[in-house]
Amino acid sequence: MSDRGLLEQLNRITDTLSRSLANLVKNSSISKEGDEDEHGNYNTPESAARTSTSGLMLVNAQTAQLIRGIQDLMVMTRTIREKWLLTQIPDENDESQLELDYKKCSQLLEQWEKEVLG
Amino acid sequence: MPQPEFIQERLKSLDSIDRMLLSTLLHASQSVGTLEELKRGNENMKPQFENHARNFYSSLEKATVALRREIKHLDDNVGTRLLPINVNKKATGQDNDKIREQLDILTKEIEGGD
Repeated sequence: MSDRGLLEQLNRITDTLSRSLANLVKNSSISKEGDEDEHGNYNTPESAARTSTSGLMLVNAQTAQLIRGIQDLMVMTRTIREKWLLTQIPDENDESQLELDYKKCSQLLEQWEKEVLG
Repeated sequence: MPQPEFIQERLKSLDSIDRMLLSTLLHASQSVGTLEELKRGNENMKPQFENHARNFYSSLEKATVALRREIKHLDDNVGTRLLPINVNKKATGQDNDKIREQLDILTKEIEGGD
């Protein structure tokens, strides 16, 4: 069923989201270590730069993942909305209206028959 | 087009889920903001960071639990209120509208002929 697919997707995104903030905090400390390296070890500024850059990149990636996760969940609410609105089985009211239409239609056709043929 | 009460309820609930998701994102951004302050050595921000992180997780939990409930509603109503297949019918009222339009034309034709 498609609903099972939705549930699995929800589980996956929730999992990612709950981890992404923790990862964000963890990766932000990498860049701090990088800063510390920069202060402690002046001989290798390149490696310090590399560490802090990779830390920054990871932070960016995690932030993007967080935003994308929320976006995916909002797409999911939209999908559910579409399902409710587009695949709903019409109410009985619509059918009674259609029946009225048929009656009117037959009357009109009879009238037309009289006017044109009779 | 006015929707049945149950569907209106579902739509309202989905709206509130959207709001919860947005507040989750807001709490995440606040957490990152306070984390930045913390990294600058501002230790006073620690309780605030904790607070924002807690809010992030609680709103995420609320939103996902509500979303799970909505998926269950969807599952329960397939076959009774919803069609059990995935159809892509974007313009469902078209044929009825066409019938009404044709009837109006017919009415005009007949009345005009009198």
